[in-house]
Amino acid sequence: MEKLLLNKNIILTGAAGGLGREMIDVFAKNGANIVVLVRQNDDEFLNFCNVISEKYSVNIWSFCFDLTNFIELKEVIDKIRNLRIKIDGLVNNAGISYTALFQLTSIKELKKQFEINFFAPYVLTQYISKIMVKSGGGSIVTISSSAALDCNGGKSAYASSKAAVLCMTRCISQELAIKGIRANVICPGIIKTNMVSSVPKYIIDIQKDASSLKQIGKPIDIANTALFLLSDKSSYITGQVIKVDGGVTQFNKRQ
Amino acid sequence: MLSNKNIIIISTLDDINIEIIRLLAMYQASVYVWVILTEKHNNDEYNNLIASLVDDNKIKIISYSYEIINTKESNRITDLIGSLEKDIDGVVCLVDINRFARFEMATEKDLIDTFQTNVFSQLIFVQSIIKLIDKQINQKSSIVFIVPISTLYGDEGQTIYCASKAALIGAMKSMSKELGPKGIRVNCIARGIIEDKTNSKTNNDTRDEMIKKMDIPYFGRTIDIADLCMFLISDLSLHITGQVLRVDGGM
Repeated sequence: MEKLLLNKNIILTGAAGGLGREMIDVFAKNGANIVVLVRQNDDEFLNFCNVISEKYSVNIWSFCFDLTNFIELKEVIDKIRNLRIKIDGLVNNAGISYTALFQLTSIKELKKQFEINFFAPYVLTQYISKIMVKSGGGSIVTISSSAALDCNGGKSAYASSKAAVLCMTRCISQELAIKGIRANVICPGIIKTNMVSSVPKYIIDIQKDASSLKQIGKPIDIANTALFLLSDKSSYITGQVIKVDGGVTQFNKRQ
Repeated sequence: MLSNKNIIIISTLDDINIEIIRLLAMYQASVYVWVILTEKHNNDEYNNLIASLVDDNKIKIISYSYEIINTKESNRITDLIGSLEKDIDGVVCLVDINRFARFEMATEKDLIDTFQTNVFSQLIFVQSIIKLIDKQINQKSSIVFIVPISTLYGDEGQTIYCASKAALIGAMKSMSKELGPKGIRVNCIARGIIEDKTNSKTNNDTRDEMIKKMDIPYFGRTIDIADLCMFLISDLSLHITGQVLRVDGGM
C-alpha cells in the first residue's frame, strides 16, 4: 500500500484519547514520525507508543504537559525546535466536551471550555505555524465538531468554543496559504470514543437514526480523513470544513 | 489506494475528464467508462482521444450514448454493465456541457439541452447502476458527482449551467439519505479553476485577477480533483456522505 505520509513529521495533541490513539496508528502506518502532546503520561500510553513505533519503524516523541499552561507550552515548543526536524503537519485534536443548559452553565465551565478548545489550539498553532513557515509549509488540521455547525441545545458552551476554533482555522487558511500552509477543519459527528461514553444511549440512537448511513462513526473514520488532509493528495484543498458524520442533517431542527 | 476496485464512469470526454479517468486508473482501479457524445465530438481528434484511453489496460470503454439517456437506454446500461459481472465499488459522474449565454439571451433549447445532459442523463444513469448495486452482496459503494465551484457562488453567463449543476447537489443530498442505509455513500466535489486548454489561453491580466481570488495562488491541477475523487471512493471516507467537498485553493 502507498504510504501517504512517508517521511513527514506530524504534531498531534490529545493523543492519549480514543481518537488520538487511532490517529497515531493510522499516521504511523503511513510512514509518519509523530510528536505527541499529552496531558497525562501513564505507562500504558508510553507502552502503546513504543509498540506502534517499533511495529511501523517510525519515531514517536512524546511530551507530557498541560496545553492550557502557556509557560509549559513555550518550553515544549523549544524542545520540539531542538529536535531539529521539519514539521509537516499539525492536528489540533485535544478537546473536552461539556453539556449543560445555557441558563445553568457556570462561567467557570465556560472558561474551561474555551481554554482547552480554543485558546490552547490558537497559541499552539501560532507557534507551530512559525516553525512550518521556516520549513516551507505544511498542513494544519483542526478537529472541531458537528455541534459547531448544528448548534444543538445544551451545547452552548462546547459548540461555541468549537465554532471559534473552526473560524480560527478558516481565517488562518487565508493568511498562511501564501506561505505554503494549508488549514482545514474536520467536523466529526458522534464518534465511538470514551468521550461519548457518558452520552445516554437514547441520544446516540437518535443520532444514529438521523444519519444517512444509520451508524455512528468510528475513530478510524476521522483518522483517515485527517490522513488525507495531511497528505499531499489534498494539496489544493484549504479553508474547508469537512463533516464526517455519516450524513446527519436535521432539517426539522434549526441549523 | 483503489486496488481491486471497479469504478464506473459516465463522461463527456473533455481534457479534464480524460485526465481524471487516467489518474483513477493509475490508482490501480479497474475503470469502466460510459461515454456521452456531444455535438463537438465528431472528429478525428476525438477518436484519437478514445484510442489513447483504451491503450491503458486498466481502462475499458463500455459503450456510447448520444447526449440523451432515456428509459430505453437505461435498460441497455443495466444489461451491458451487468454483463461485466463485476462488483461496483464506485461511480463517478463527469458529464459536463456548458453553453455560455447571458440569462436574457439564452434560448429554450439551451435550457432544455443543458438540463437533459447534465441532470437527467446523469441521474438516469446512476439510477440504472444502483439497480445493479442492489443485487450485489457487498453493497458498500460510493457515488461521486463533480460540479464547478461557480455552482455555489454563481457566475456571469452561466445561469443555466449553474442551475443544472445545483440540481445535482440537491439530488445528491436526497440520494445520500435514501441510499445511506444500504451503505452507498453519495458526495459531490466542487472544483475550482483548473489549468486546462481553455484556461491556459486566457491572457495574463485575467489570470492574475482570477488568482487574486484564491488563497493558494495557482490554478488547480487535474490531479487535485482526481486525488479527492480517489479519497471519496476509497475506504478512507467510509463515514462521509451527503457532503459537498471543495477543491478550489480556498476561493
